Amino acid sequence: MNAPPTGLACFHCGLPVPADCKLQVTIAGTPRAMCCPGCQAVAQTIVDIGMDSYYEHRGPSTPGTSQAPDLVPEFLTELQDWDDPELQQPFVHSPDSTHREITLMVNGITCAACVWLVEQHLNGQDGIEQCQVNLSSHRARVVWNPGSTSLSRIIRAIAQVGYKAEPYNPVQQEDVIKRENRQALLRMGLAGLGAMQVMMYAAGLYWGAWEGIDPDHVVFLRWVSGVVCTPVFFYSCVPFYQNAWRALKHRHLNMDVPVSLALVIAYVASWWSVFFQGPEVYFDSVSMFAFFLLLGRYLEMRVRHRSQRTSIRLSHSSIQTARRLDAGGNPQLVPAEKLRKGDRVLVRAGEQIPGDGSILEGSSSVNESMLTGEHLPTPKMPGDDVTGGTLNIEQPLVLEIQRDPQESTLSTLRRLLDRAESEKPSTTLVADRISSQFVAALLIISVAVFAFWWFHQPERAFWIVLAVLVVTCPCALSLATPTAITAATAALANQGFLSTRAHTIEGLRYITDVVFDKTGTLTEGRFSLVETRLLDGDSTAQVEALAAALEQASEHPIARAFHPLGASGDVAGIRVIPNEGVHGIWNGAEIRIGKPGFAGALLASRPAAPDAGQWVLLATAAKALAWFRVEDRLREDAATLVQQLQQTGKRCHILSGDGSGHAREIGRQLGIADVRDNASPQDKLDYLKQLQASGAQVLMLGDGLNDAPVLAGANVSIAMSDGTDLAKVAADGVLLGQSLSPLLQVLTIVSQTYRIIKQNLAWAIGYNLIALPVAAAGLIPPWLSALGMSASSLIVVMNALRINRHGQRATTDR
Amino acid sequence: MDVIYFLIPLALVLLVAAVWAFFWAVKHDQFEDLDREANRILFDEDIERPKKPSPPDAPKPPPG
Repeated sequence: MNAPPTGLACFHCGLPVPADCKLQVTIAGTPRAMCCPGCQAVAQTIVDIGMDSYYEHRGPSTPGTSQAPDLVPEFLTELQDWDDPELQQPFVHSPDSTHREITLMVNGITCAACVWLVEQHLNGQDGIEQCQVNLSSHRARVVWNPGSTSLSRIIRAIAQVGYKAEPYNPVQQEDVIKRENRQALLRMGLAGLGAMQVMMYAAGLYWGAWEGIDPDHVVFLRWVSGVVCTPVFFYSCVPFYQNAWRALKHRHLNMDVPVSLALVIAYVASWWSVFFQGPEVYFDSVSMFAFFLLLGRYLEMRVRHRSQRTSIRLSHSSIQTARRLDAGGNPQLVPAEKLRKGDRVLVRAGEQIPGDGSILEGSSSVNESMLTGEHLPTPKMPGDDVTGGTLNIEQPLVLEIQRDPQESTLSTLRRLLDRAESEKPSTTLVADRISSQFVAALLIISVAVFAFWWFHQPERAFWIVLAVLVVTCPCALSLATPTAITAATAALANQGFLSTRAHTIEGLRYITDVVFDKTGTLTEGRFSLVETRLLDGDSTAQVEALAAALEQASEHPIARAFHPLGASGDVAGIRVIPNEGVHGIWNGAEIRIGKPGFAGALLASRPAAPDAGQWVLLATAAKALAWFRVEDRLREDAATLVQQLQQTGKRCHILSGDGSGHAREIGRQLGIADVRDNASPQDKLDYLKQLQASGAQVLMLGDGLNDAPVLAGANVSIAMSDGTDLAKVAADGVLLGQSLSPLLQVLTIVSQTYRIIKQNLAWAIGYNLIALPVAAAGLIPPWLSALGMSASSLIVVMNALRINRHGQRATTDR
Repeated sequence: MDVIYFLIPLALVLLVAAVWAFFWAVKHDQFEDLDREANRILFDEDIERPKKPSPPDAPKPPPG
């Protein structure tokens, strides 16, 4: 759905193929189009190693979630670092002297075919003893022989087939997930096996009640039922008792209170029946009841774990390293958190600055967009301060660290984030509210029914109340919301939206205002060439090729706008002047590209920029050749999104840290009137609080470090998947992929979910309203109450599954 | 119908065996990755394939 209406999608990654791209790979006899040399190389590798059946079996991936191929080579350059024993040490285990073992996080895995591909490829490599990839958690466990291969070669081999792997230290949260999952499986499995057995005996008893049965057999079957039910009651049902007890301790009612009450009363009364020949045993109801509830909760938990795992993966930051200079001035690789005030570090071009410090040597430009939202790099000279987490663009720098890591700007932001998080307006879950009212009503009615029968037929009172409790079992009611939310979470994931908090879906329902952060959400976050004005060159193609040839040397964001153009022209002696431009020798004369002041310096009369916007000049000493206009372009679907949001009555705002007026320009293009630019993180938070004070429910979309506190403070916040880690941690949901349009589908699914929740609640309550008087009148035998309970629960679950069908169009990524 | 005095205890023994097997399976990570095992059957692991044409650290082309 990302592909433009015309043109092909890349056979490997699914992104659109640029019009002028002729790359192809022959897969299983058919030539397939590729969008870039990265994909071509990966696809060719897959074919060469004879694994093209990968393409046959892979699942359709969520658009744009596959690894953006141009990321891979960039990250490969730093790979050698991983062979450093000190850096490896926290990740690598040595079971014995000839083996090393590591857990790698593999990004880009979407289906079983990916797992197969990575495993087969690695297992075919020399020196790799064992490789196992887990599809659910996206982890690879690799055992290798350090004598014949190295960690960097392993990571490179994974990159060869198109995935990005990073050493990974299991987060504590993950152990919790694993334990919870195992525990729930055991409880549910036991309850399931027990329920099957007890139902069999119960069928015999019910049948016997009709057809006549030897009383000895009744006693025997009751005994066996009781014995099989006992482990279910004492092992599988423990979570219900714990939750109920916790709720009661806090003077609060939840579903687990009547559930536990019904379980305990039914179990005890059944044993009483076994010993004293009472009228009924309810062992079948107890175990069925436990199994259904545990099954519903297990399914819900699995979806929750899946989101949690994805969010752990998204916010997993690779270990930041720093090159600390020792006394002799030799760089040594250390983890960034070990840096102390006064350390000197070397930061190469293109690297992240490891800590707050000031520049001792070198001048460069630094991209601070994560902090300020300013999209152009800031020039930095010796003596200037730089902030940890920002990106050094052009030249190597030597810094002196000024603050310990825990006092750094990043840590301060993190604290601001924690505070905003704790002040976040809470969303009460509908289900909680309704259920506690329902439970209270149920308990009062049970007492009333008991009192009534006590005065009329005291010997029947107890059994009737039990029937009331079992038949009104809030099974359906307690499944109504979670199953719908679970199905919705899965449907949203299929659409490329990952909800990471429990209240995300609930919160999205009430949204009145949408606040965009400009950098990286509405715009692509990188420059592209939008206009070329020929002055004295031969042709547009010629000047563009010349410009590209010169700018290849520079990593400045503006220079990168020229990188996709084909470079040609005989340019030699290229040098990059930080913050100014690039110069070189062409046809024996000096040629310059860059800021008008720099490029035009050699000319007799300096030309002025022709129009508003960001202009780059290409000139020789003799003449100005051409003007180029570059722009941080709007994302393709930004306009449609804003338009449709406004049509559905949602107000849109732009909050930007950028002071260049670009935000206002974007606002004008999109028809958004409420624009605040030049805003600090605190300003943004204040703006948000003001909106909330006037009654607005705010959805915030952002991606930067500076957005993190604002994201945490909004009613619901969504981060872009290419945003900073901190933003993803702070957000309630992450938009996977590069496109904004899933947001509209997300809102549609959310309103559909609430329709289904309402239907489910109406059904559950309606069923109870009918069943309760009948049970209270003493007309429901135990087998009918068990049947009614099961049927009402199944209907609720099946209704909830309809949500997923809606989202099935772009099928699952897992 | 007195055969149930023999058959039901036998069924209980089998039930205990089933529960034991299930617990063993869960505790030995047999349920760790349910998504993947479902697809495993699709892949041929024994197909003849050429040995890798390039060494693992062959350089990659630059980004497009």
